[in-house]
Amino acid sequence: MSALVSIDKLTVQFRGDRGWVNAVEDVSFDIGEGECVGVVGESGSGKSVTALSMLRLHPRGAARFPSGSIFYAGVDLLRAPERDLRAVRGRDIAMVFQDPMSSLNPVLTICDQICEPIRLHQGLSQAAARRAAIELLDLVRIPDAARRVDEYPHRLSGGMRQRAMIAIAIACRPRLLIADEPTTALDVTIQAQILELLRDLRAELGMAVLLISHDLGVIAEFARRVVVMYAGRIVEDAPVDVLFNAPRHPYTEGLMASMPPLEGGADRLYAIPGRIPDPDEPIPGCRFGPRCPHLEPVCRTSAPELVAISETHRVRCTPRSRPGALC
Amino acid sequence: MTDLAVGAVAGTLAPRRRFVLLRRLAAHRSFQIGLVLVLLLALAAIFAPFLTSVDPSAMKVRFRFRPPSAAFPFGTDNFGRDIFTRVLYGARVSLWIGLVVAISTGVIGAAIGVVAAQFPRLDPYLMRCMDALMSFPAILLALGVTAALGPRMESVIIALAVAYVPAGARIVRASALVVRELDYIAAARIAGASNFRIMIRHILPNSVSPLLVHVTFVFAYAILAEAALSFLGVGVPPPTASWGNIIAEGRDYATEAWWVMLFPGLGITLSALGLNLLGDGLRDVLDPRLNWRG
Amino acid sequence: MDALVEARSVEMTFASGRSGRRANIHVLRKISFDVGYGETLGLVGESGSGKSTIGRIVVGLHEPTGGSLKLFGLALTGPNRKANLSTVRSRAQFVFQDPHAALDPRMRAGDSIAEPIDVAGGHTRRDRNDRVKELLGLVGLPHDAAERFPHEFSGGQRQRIVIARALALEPLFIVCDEPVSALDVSMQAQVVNLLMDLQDRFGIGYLFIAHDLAVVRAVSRQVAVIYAGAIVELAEKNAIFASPLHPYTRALLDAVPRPDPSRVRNRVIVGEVPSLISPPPGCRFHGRCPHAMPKCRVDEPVLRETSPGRLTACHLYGPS
Repeated sequence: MSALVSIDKLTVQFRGDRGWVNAVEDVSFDIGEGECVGVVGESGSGKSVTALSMLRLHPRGAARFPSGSIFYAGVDLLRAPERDLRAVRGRDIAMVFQDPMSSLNPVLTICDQICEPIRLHQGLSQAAARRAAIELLDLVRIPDAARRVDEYPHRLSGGMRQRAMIAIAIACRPRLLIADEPTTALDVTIQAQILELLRDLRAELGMAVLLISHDLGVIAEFARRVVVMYAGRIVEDAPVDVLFNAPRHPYTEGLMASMPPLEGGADRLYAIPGRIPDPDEPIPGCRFGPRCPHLEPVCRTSAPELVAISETHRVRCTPRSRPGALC
Repeated sequence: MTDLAVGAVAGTLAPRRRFVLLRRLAAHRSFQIGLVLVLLLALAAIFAPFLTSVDPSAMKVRFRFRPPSAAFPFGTDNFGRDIFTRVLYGARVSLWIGLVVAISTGVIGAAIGVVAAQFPRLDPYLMRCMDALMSFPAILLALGVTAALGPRMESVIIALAVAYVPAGARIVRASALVVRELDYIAAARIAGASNFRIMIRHILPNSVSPLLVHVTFVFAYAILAEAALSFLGVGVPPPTASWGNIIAEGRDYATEAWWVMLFPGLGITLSALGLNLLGDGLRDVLDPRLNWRG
Repeated sequence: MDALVEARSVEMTFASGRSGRRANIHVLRKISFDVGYGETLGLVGESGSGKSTIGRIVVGLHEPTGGSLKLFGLALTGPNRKANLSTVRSRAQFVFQDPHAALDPRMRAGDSIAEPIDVAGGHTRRDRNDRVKELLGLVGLPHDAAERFPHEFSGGQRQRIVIARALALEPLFIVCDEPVSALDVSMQAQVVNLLMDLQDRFGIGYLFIAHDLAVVRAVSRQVAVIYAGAIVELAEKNAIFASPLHPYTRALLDAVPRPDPSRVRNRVIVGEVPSLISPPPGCRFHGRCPHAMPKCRVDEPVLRETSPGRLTACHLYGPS
């Protein structure tokens, strides 16, 4: 089965103070039709950069892609001309961002903003687009949609704004929805509502969702497959139950162990020692090495490769990917 | 008890990134060009006595209206004075006026802006005064002040400073209002710091970056304004040379001796250009968005 | 024994808008709680609950518009506020949420940490610098961190500097306002551990304000849940987490995503926090409550002891 979107050895560089640095290196994974993939990582992991790269949304000249490809419908999105990319953005692949305050245009009404992709990609008249917009607001469960559609973003609460953003994103029934930390800026109870909405929409519209988050709980509830990123690289890629019940990579283990348990328990939390490295910091061998409690000599000399330890499970860790290691 | 050994838990510090802003500034193309221009002009002004041995006021009537030549690189005016020498000495005056106006506008504007932001009860009064000053065209204001104080270089400086202070005050006030709400100000208050200390140590240093950019532009405006004032006859009085009054004097015979207006005009243009480029570079580098890492 | 912090019916109303369109925002209504010496009270709520305002009131940044507040037994409301505030100032400190905004970007870390010492005065240069080194050591940062500027540190390290500054004058009470929310997960555990170690070592009491229930559970002895300006439940932490009484507490616990893919969520709560300017009558939560009764629309429930050691503000529970 061919994937909907196939990312192959993606490397993204940004211009730093001292030249170009790798923000993302050697990232490869596929997203299947209707699949629900979660990408989890902390700051500097490169998860957002990867998402933005899929639609080449970086400011011009700020990022470059020295190698790798992102294939959708037979086209390499990284090398395609801008015109082709515009046909994909908002129609086949859509995106929802973290901060609804800054992602919505404050001087346009909700109706204007939802109608924009509709009119652009489907060529509807203003009246028809407006009707579609009201339907979309109903779909994302904004009460009193017919009145709300004419309001400006600042009149809506955070949760409503996020729903409006989702409405804009699904306006043209995309095949893939990329959600970059869609609930991070929201309260916990609102977060639960939005996640439930995303789940239902996914089922209704049959679209694939790429959910990016730093919150392991959100990922566990939502994703079917999880990609764990650290310092610009994928360190683990597994189905969600495998990842949470039997993680392989020491970073994944550390992340899970450092979450304070809601069910009560230990007096002290486990903390991964050290700090996340800067992108331009040179670290020989494995980039997680300096913080790893299971460091071996080989980890310092050679950078680990992403190895498949089962059909669905890949790990980037030399000691842990040896055959027979840690069964 | 967990081991609080240095570095073990918190991690080592990243290698130092010193002088990030200065390095970025030095690499900025506009800034480089602007800096070169301004430095050249400033050096020419400072070393004027070494670059020319002629007295700027010396009149050699036999050599009036000579076009540019080896003996007189910029030609002579109707009194036979060497324009090259006059332009160099005029640079001293014009650049000095620009510098003093820029600095005083910056200092006074910063003071007013910070005080207005810190004391909401004084704020409306201060800002209405600023508005009143801003509503006068700078030239008219300058005319009024010069008329009151008599035509001297000092009058020109005071007049222009008064004209440009309000904009600076507004800029600083806007920054200061934002800074005031930040957590580190609350932290200082919790530490028991007085209003005065907070103003001087925290609010002021963090509100002045946009002012820095503005001040370089004020420098340029002041040079242009001095030229305009001299053109109107209320600038620096002759026989002192300033770029403005050289142009003013050359106006009457512009067609016969075009060189008299051209060269000081070039001086004004180049310094304004250089300062604008400097300001552009500063503004790009000081943009707060660029200072966020990661 | 005197409590470290004693709040009784504290109210806070902010005026907003200009004359003609004046609106009163009732941020806090009749807030009462105690914090014991050397103990931690966790305060959990979402946006608009007023939890941050409580923190700022307790440390003296705002004066309550009603009720009484005592810190170290001294009244921070009433005629002696100013005098008492300057007495207790050095003993009560604050840790902020956003490590980027909590440090003056133009000051070196060492100077920021030493600011409370410098303001208090009366220390020699050498003593002051020694103290800075000592504080850096306490929070796990190397000595040469003192020379650096905030932008040279990571978020977690900056938060440590903020904590070091809070410790400068040997406080007995620190309000922690979302101290780890802005940090990466791997950093959160480090900073939480640090705060708990400092409490063990120096007997500092905390008012720990957060929206993250799991973190609050790890650090607190008692937990108060606040909704739309009022405390709806207050109890010892294990009691609250094991058997939450108030419907909002239950909804909150239920909404927290767990790292357990097989977990099925009970019920997703609908609606949003009501307006604080023109709040609905009766219980503030009744619009979203699955157990709302007619009484809830009319009478606002009072926080009272519904079983030993447990305070709840809900009509579902009678007094003990």
